[in-house]
Amino acid sequence: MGDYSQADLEALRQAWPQPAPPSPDARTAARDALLQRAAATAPRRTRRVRLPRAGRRAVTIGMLAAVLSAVALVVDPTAVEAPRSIVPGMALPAANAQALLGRAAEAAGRRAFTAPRPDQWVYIATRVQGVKQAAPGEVQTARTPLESRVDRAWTRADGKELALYEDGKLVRSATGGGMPPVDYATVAALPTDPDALLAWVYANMGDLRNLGADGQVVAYRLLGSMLAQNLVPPAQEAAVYRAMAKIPGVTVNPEAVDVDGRPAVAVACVEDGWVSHELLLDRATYTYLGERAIAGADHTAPEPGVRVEDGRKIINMGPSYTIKKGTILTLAVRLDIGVTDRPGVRP
Amino acid sequence: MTQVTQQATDAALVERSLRQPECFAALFNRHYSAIHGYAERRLSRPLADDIAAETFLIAFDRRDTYDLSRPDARPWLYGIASNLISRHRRTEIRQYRALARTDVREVGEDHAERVADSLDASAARGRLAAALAELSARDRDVLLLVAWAELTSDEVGRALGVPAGTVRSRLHRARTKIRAVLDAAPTRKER
Repeated sequence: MGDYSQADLEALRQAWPQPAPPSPDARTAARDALLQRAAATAPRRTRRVRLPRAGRRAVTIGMLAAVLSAVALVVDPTAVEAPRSIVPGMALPAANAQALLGRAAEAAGRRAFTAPRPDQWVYIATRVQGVKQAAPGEVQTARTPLESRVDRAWTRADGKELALYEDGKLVRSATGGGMPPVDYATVAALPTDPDALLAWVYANMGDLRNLGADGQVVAYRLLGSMLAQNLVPPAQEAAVYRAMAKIPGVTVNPEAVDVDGRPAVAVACVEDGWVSHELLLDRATYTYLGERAIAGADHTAPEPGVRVEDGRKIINMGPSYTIKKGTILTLAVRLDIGVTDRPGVRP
Repeated sequence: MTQVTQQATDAALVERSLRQPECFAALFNRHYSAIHGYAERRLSRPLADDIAAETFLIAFDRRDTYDLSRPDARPWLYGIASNLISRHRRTEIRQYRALARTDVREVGEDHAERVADSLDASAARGRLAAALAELSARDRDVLLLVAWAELTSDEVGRALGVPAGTVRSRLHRARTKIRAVLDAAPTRKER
C-alpha cells in the first residue's frame, strides 16, 4: 500500500459531487437563529473592551473612482462587448436590496453631522487591495496574491485644491472637477430627492457610458464612487442609497465579507455578467465601510481580434487571460475620514 | 486610526465574539456553506439544513473553550458537525445501501450500457456506497472528513479529538477497503 495515489479519494468526490449551495431560506433561518442567540448573550468578560466603531473614527476609501475605472479598463478590454445576463445564484431578489438600502438611508439620515467650513480639508484614508493586471495567459483566482496600498487624500471643502502624498512629499493640485464630484461643496449641493439625484447621474455620466457597461451599472458605480471619495452630508447619503435602490439589477449579496472583523452586508450590481460591484455597509449600523469588485463568475478575455456576434462588431484588444470566480479585483476599505484645518495632517 | 485586517483569522473572530457576540456571524458567513455541503453529502438536504444550523449554535455556545492558538476553525466546526451527523447513522447507512442497490441494478441490465457506465464515475458510486455502508462509523468519519471535507489527518484528529496516529490507522483501513472495490471494477468490465 506504498502507493498512496489519491484516486480513491477523488472517486469519492466525483461520485458524491459538491452539493448545490444551501438555499437562501435555510441560510437566513440559520443565521437568524445564531444572531438571536448572540443578541441574547451578554459579553463574556465584565471588563468590556469595545472596539472602535465607525461614526467618529469612520472608515473610508480614497481615490476609488480612479481605481474602479482602472479596473474596468484593465479587466475589460472588450470594451464594446455586449452585456451578458446577470450571474445567477449570487444574490437575493432586489426587493431585499431595496429594503436594505431603505434602512441604510434611514440610518444615514439620522447620523450626527458637522459640515466643514469652505477653507477646511476633508481627509480620507483608504486601503486599496486587488490583483495585479493579468499577464497574457495568466489565470487569476481567489488565491492570487493581492497588491495593497493606502491612499490618503485631503480635498479642500470648497473644491479648490487637492493634496496627496507622492513619494513622501505632499503635492497640492487642482481637483479638476470631473464625475463623480470629489469636493464637499459640489456634493452638498446635489439633489436630496432620489429620482432627481438619479436623473442628475444619468445626465452627467458622459463618456463613461462607453466603458462597456450599460448605463444602469455606470450609474450605480458612480454613486458608489461618490460615497467612497467624499464626506457626504446625511441627506445626500440617504438619497444615494435610495437612488441605488431604484436601479434595476441591484441585489443583496448574502455572502458578507469581513471588514476588520466587522460583519458587512454587500449590495451588489453585476457588470458584464461577471464583475460584481459591491457596496459594503456595516451590518449593524449601515455605516459605509468600503467597496469591493469581485469576479462573480469565471471570465476569460477573448484573444485579440475582431469578430461579429449578433450582427455587432466586437473588437477585442489586449491579451487573453482568465479570471476565476472569487478573484478580488478591488477591495477598498475606508480607514479614516475627517476634517482638518490644513492638508497633510490627520484629523 | 485603526488597523484594518481584511482577513481576520477564525481564532481572532472567535476571540472577538467573546466581547462582541455578534462577531460570531462572520464565522458563520465563512463556513456555513461548507458545513452544510458536508452534511448534505452524508445525509440529505433537509437534514443538512438542521445540522448546519445546529453546528453554529453549539459552536457559539462553546466559543469560550475554543483553542485560540488554532487560526483555522474548520476542524472544530467539522467535529461538531460529525457528532451531529452520527446521530443519524442508521439513516446514512440505509442511504448508502439503497444507492448500492440502485446503481448495481442499472449497470446490470444491459451489457453495452454497463461498459459505458463503468467509465463514468457515477457508476462507481454503487460500489463505493456499498463499501461505505460496511465501514465502521469511526473509520467512515475519518475517511469522509478527508475525502469530502478535505481535512488533513492532523485536522481530523483535532476534529474528532483522537490522536493523529489513530486517525492514520483508521484512514489506512478505510482507504484499503475503498481501493479494493475500485480495483475490482475493471475486472468486472472485462468479463
